[in-house]
Amino acid sequence: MSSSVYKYSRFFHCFTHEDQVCLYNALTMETVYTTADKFEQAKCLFETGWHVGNNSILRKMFHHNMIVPKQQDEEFILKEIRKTLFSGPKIRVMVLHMTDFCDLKCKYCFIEGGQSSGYRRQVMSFETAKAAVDKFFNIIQGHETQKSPSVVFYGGEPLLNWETIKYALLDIEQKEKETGINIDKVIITNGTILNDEIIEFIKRYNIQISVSLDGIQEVNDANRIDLHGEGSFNRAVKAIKCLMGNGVTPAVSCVMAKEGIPRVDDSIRFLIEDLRIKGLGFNHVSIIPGLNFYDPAYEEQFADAILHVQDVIQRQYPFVYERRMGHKVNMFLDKLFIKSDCTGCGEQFSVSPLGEIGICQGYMGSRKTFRKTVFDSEYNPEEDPVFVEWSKRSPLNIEKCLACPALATCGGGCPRNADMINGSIWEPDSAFCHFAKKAQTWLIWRNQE
Amino acid sequence: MKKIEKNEASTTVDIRKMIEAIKKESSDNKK
Repeated sequence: MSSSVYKYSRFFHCFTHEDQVCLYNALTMETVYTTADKFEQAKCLFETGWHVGNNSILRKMFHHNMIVPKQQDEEFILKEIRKTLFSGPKIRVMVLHMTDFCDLKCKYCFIEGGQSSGYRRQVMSFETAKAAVDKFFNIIQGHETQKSPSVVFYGGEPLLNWETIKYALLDIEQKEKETGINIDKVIITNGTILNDEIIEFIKRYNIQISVSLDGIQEVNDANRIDLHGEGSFNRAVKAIKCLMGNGVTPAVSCVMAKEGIPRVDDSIRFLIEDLRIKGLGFNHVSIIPGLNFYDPAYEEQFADAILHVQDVIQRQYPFVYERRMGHKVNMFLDKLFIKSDCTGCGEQFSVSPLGEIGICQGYMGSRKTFRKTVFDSEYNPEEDPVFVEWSKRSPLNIEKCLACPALATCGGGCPRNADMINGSIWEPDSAFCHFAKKAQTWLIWRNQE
Repeated sequence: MKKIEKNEASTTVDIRKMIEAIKKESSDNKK
């Protein structure tokens, strides 16, 4: 029972903070907290052939799979896990791009930024929306997933094509009755053209709505501007207040660009205390070839700001869900491994305004991965080799990720970013790695507190 | 640190349970 018959697991990591040590299994998320002195003593005993059962730290490490029998084949265990977890795509989400027209011209927009100079904008027709809804219901029938199926109305600004959204909602309602499947409906909007009829529909169909707003006016209007260069802050805030006044609590989608980081405390206070927002999500600025480049210094600052926000939320606003960290906190406390963050990894397809089917809205400008259409009756994206490949993208299948302490809580970041930065979805998303590693350290020490 | 009510792909998995099941099956097969 000594180091002659035992070894450190390849997933064993050691976090240190002042005189404290956290021993951690990055695959199972098991933790052992002790002091640096006690761990040093245990390590010496283990490495000089001491009996594992004779030391309490070594016993705990053995119990939590940080020390494993030398003959234990961890590669075999990984292969068996992969066999169970990666059985191909299981579509749950359809993202409908109602139009790629928008009444704003946000400086960091990845939809706009991905379009070539001769790009022709389009608007989704009734016929395309109906074919997409039919395709979606055909695919999801018989599926069982951990989360409800959902249809996301996306753009551009989707409400510019309100008549087709209305038509699609009626069609979805009919299909729900026919199949007994309930669908979550989500609209992602900049809020500039909300009106009474739209709000009435939002209430009637119990639509989840997310309004894009980056924080206080100075922060928002630095990037979120209209075609005349005017800031969008007042219009977005008016929309949020109008929704609230009608009994609808929207979520807020925030891009935290460089300008927003120094004012994050003001923005979070404004969103939660003034606007009474209960759900929000912070995004970093997407990589856009020729426009937004991978900037390690920015990604470090972004990570620090998100963790600071979560500290504020945990301390002052425990009723607020910031999805970027909230998901990690919940999964870490439940000891549930995040197979992948991105719904593009086997759970979603996107539909262009013309009905082309692809994986990720981030490729809408270039149409990369968009190969067939909703009118191809035989086509099932779950059988498409590109969708099958994406469904396997997980830190568990990326060799460089297996040695990372954030293996279980990372989710692998954004495959599109990995593709843009490193040339392949099978590379890590370097931009996201900064946040994932800092978040893992944050989870370890906040968990101890 | 507290859990927060949800307001992000869906597949999350209890790897510990999975590993225990794999080990058990492997040892049963050896018998």
